[in-house]
Amino acid sequence: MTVLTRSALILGLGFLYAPIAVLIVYSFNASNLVTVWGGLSTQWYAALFADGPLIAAAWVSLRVAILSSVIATALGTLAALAFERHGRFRGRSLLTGLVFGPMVMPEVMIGLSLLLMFIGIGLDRGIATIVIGHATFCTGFVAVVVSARLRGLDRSLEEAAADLGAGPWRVLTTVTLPLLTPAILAGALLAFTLSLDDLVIASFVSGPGATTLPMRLYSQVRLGVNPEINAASTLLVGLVSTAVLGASWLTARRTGDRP
Amino acid sequence: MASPAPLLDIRGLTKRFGDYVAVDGIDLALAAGEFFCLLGPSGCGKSTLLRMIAGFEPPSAGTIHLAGSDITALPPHRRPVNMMFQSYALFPHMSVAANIGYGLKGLNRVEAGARTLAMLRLVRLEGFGDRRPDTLSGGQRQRVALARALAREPNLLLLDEPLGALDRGLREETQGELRAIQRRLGTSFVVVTHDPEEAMMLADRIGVMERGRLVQVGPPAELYRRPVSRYVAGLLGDVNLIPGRAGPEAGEGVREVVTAHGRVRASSGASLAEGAEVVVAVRPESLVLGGEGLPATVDDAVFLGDRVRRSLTLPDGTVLRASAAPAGGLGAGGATSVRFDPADAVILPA
Repeated sequence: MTVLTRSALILGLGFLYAPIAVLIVYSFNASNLVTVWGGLSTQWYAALFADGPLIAAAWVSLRVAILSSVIATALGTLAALAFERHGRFRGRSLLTGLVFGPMVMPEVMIGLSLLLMFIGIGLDRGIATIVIGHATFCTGFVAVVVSARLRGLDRSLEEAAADLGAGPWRVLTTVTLPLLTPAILAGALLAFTLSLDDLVIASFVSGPGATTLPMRLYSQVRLGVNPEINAASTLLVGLVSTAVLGASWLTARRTGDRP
Repeated sequence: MASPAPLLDIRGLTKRFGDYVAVDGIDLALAAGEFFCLLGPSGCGKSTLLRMIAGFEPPSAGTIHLAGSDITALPPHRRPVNMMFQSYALFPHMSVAANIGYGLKGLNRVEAGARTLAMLRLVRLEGFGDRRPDTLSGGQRQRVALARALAREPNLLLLDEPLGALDRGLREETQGELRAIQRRLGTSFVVVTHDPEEAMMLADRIGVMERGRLVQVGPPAELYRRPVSRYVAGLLGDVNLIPGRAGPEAGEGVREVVTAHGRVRASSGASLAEGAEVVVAVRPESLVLGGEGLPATVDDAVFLGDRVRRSLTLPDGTVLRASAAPAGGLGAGGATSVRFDPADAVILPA
């Protein structure tokens, strides 16, 4: 590696991650002032766990993320199976577009349209509506990850199972799904992370008593940043990076389907 | 004597992909216990034909009967045939024993276990039952795939390029093994291959495919001695083609051919109009030097141990290759003549 490429790499990574590094460092700041360094301390983490509303918001976020990632994983996997294993059925292109659409649509638009729909059908806004909203846009991400794996899966494995007398259901449960497990778990972790991170859609469709962690943090910051936010954000960064690293490890893992 | 009903009876089987006809009206009957090879270059439709028999491709037209019952519309898991895949398609998340036992769901645990062990013994992989497929060598994987396909005791086993992924030495050893297993079990085998030598080594009968059609079906020796086209003649081994025009009949199944250097006699397969452009196909080992025949010059002679290969030229420039036992020295160079027994030469459309 030349000096040039090395410095380009450091600059690039610095540009991307310096703000997060600053945030993490300042979460261990003993000072009350966010911008003044006053020595090392974990007091803000203690304060964080004593902050009732913040912990409540974290619980809401966790429940929403788990529920919506489970729903998105189920729907996304089914969509991927339909796209990759059921030939050219009527409306296939339309369905593909509809599943992947929410990935590229502006979040504000998704949030607004979901809100209008929930009002229209008279559904009370709360945790359920956030779960539905998150599942909607996470489904596409799961479908992408699982589709990619399915395309790489040797078709003759499923054919061999059918040839050995296994009906479609047995082929799916004993061959296709076990071989897709890493991709399905990766998709689930991705959906979990996306749901945990989301502020925009949750803000549109949440109701009283259903404040997620990002919503809580955002509203606190508007009243002034305190080091407790840094601590909360640091924990969130840790959780999200763990999930993303886990997802990429699962996707990259050799599963031995090559002959 | 009435011949027994065929095990596999294929009539008018056709497969179209859009405008492209992959398999074009194939008729084929297979006896129980027969070892049949489908031979042809890649893209000739042989794999598609195999996949239609297995049930993976629905035919565009035609029927498939197995042991008297129509299986044309049955899905793969209801067909009493099994297939060995070119990639072996071993389940990577299961042990060798679980792979072999996958198709034995109808049996109880004890029977299935016993059958799995018997299959492992058949392919000489005792003690490998707990291994994962990715810890096996290519040859071992090939044998696991064979054992898995045979575990359900099918009447008919389909094998798609079963030896294609093995290296040369292993392939020859495995050919013998495959044939021994087939003899022992009495199962009908249909093997798809692009290797003529392999087809001749394995098969009781070979079906040569070209552009979706079965151009000739018969025992290897018949295909070698009596090919119906230049394509089949060239596929099964080295062949000399001497151009000429069809002449009059000259006895039972023999007619004259007028070449640029005189008349020769050869066996006539298909009916050809007199004066039609033809070629006389003669194998190198059927050419005899000396005596009354076509004038030729020996350009080169190579000693190959068990035989001598000579390169000859006719006056019009046609190059012939002759192969003979090395008695009487090399005799390289000089003018000679070349002839052949009409029974060893066949007249083919040009």
